[in-house]
Amino acid sequence: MIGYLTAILVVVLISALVALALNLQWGQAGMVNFGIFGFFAATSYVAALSSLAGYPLLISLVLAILTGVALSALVALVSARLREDYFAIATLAFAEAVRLFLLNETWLTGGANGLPGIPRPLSAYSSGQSYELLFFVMALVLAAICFAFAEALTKSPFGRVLRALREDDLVAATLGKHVLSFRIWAFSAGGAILGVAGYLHSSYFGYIDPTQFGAFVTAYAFMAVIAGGRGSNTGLLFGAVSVMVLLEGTRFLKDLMPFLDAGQAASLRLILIGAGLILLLIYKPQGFFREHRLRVDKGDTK
Amino acid sequence: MLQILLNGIVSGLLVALPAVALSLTYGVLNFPNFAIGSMITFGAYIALFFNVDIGVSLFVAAGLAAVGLAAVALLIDRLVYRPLRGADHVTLLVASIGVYFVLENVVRFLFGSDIRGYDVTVARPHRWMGLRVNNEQILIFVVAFLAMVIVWFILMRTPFGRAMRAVSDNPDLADVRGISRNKVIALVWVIAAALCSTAGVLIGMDGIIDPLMGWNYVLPLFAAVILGGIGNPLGAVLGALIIGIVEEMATLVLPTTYRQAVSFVIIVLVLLLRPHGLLGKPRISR
Amino acid sequence: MTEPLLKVEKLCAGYGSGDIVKNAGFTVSENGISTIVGPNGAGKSTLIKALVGLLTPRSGSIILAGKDVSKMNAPAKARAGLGYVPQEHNVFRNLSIGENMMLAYEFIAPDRAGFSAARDRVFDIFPDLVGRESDLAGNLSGGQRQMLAFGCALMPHPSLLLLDEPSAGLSPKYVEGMFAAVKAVNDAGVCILMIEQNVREAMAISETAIVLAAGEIRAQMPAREFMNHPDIHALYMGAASTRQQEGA
Ligand SMILES: Nc1ncnc2c1ncn2[C@@H]1O[C@H](COP(=O)(O)OP(=O)(O)O)[C@@H](O)[C@H]1O
Ligand SMILES: [Mg+2]
Repeated sequence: MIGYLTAILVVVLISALVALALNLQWGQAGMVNFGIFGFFAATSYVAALSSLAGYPLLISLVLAILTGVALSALVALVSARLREDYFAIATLAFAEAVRLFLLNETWLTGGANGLPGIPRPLSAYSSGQSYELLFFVMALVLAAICFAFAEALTKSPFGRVLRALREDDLVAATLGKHVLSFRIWAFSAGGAILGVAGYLHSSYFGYIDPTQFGAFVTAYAFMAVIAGGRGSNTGLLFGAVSVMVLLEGTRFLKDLMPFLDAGQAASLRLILIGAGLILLLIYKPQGFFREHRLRVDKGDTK
Repeated sequence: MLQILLNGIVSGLLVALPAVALSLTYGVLNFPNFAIGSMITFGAYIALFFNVDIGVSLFVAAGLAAVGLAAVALLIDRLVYRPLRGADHVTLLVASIGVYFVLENVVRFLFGSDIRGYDVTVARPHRWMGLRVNNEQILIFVVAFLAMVIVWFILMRTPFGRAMRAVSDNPDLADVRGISRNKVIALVWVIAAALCSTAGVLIGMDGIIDPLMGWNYVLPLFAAVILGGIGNPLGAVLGALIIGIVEEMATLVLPTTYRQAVSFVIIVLVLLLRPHGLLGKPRISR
Repeated sequence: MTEPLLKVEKLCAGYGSGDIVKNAGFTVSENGISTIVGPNGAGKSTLIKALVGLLTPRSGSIILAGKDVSKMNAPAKARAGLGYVPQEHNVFRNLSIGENMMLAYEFIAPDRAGFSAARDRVFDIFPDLVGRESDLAGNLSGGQRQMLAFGCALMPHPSLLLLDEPSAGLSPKYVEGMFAAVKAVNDAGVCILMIEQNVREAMAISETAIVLAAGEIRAQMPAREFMNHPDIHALYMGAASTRQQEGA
């Protein structure tokens, strides 16, 4: 039971980190990263490869973060000045290009078979159930650091400028050139968090392949950010946790409806994700934690 | 070389059908519809159901698929996009990702994830002036060409086509011209559905049918639409032809598995160099 | 006095929270030209958008020729006889001039046969447009575009034509022509309600002046009286003493 609980919690934490990154990029800076799964995949693979190459935890983690930052900066550099919808297309195209690379460069990535046997960090210190707990604590610490980082950014003058940019074209116009660098920084900060998420993902599961990184990651992340109230980190925590708990809950659909085969149960889950996303947009576009967000915003603008 | 050009044109025409659909919905509804790929898939499977499970000819099945997909598109518009009318385009494009999940997985739920095929006999390719041409290619050429002509005629020569272009040019002004936006949008969905399901059937005849078949076309579609200039359906046709030919030529130097990378490169280049598309001047904005 | 062509009562409209147009009430009588004047940002354009249905009124009523049209959407109002030329973005720029004129007619006017007669009438008023049907509307100069927009609104023969600053942004040469055109159209039997900043020229052809400031109708009076008013400034700024002038 503890094992199952920690497993769910780790998965929730990883997804929350992806959503946290999106919240910085889209929620704060208005950059619609539809290809977030591509960045997540890239950092996961870098973490996996460096762990497989025998590098210790810290080095793999730093490499994953650097990958996230570098790729984000690169993509942002190229496309930060694009209109929202073009930006979404560009990032999605990037993610698909990453997927193509992962599928086809078999010598490096194992292609469709993926990378098995990724060493688990800290396994020298513990094993079995207590290892699960240890990993969860590590994930929790890393997530807390990321959260503090995002919150600090949000509260800083930098975060205020970002929100002003998002909401008011006039501010954007007066800031002129700086807008671009602000946006690139924000996008890269999100990339750093995706690096942490990628590291946790590959080292927790010990096996990665390209199917783990699809558009559904984008859908989860958008659901969490919208449910939490776009732009609010605290709201996002609730959003990510409740969305993930709901989604994990749908795994029990199969037990409820034994007449479905495994494939049908899986697709039913994804149908529910799609429908959930749509319902959220129609009925709760401001999220479930609006009041909270307003309070945070007021605190900022004094 | 000529063979490559021919193959490129044919695969470009295949992209052109849904690219026109994407361009029309982009212009009139003002958001990039990421569910376009799953519309192709859905159409292909409706035809599969009628062709394989019911046993009607593929020709009839394709017609039924167009009707069926149009009904599905109208239902989705009513349930999803109409309540979100007037929302910003990020909301709409996130919603279209939701629609993509629902459509693709309804297909998986009903038909499974295995590779399927239509019940048609494959004829041997013809040889003609040193070129290898198979029946599917001729069919794609004829059908796509006809579809383009019909859409062009509707757009440029009928009141409803004018109304469509008017709504995509300036929706408020279209309102005061007495044009009912919901009717125009409904018509756009019907046309888009017909184009997507036709493309789905042609893709299924030429290749394989599986739930991912449409998603694989999403990048080339967006590349074609961006290349042609957003909201410009005729530009999208040109864009699609270019994508098809460049992809085919790229296979000379790149492994075929990287075909789709061509679209990625084209999207990046166009957005960087000519965000208004190839067709000359920036589209005059509202 | 006969029943007015347009009667607006207690109209409130706005975009986000809060009303821009507050409790507006005025009438437009048959046949004449009425002109709405007021400072920038007063809500003049907003008022007109609420009248044509681009903005749903939050409360109040709009009676056109004795019929309550308050709840109608913009296409329905257009078919009910309300024509409108927006202040900007008033032509389909990616469509040709000919297509613009067709679109202005075919979804409003019931009979297709009247199209060429309607077009010829517009060509009579704006001869500059003749022979240019296949040109893209977006390539027209500001003045010509304004003419096209005006001409399009005339195509279905509206009973009331709303013009939002028809002379704004035009060179002096065109301003004069524009007012002449407004007068000519009115003489041909189309009742006109317009917004204008060129107050003097506008009042010269208007019967009625309506003053809108800070979203409220401050006064409605005959145009001549308005021009001779001792304290137009007070009218604009809305000193309470001028409110007695209301009602013409
Ligand atoms: N689309 C809009 N959304 C929100 N506010 C608007 C919009 N259009 C105009 N406003 C606001 O409404 C007020 C009145 O504008 P408008 O009716 O255009 O004034 P006028 O035409 O008298 O100059 C202004 O304060 C303006 O900022
Ligand atoms: Mg105005």
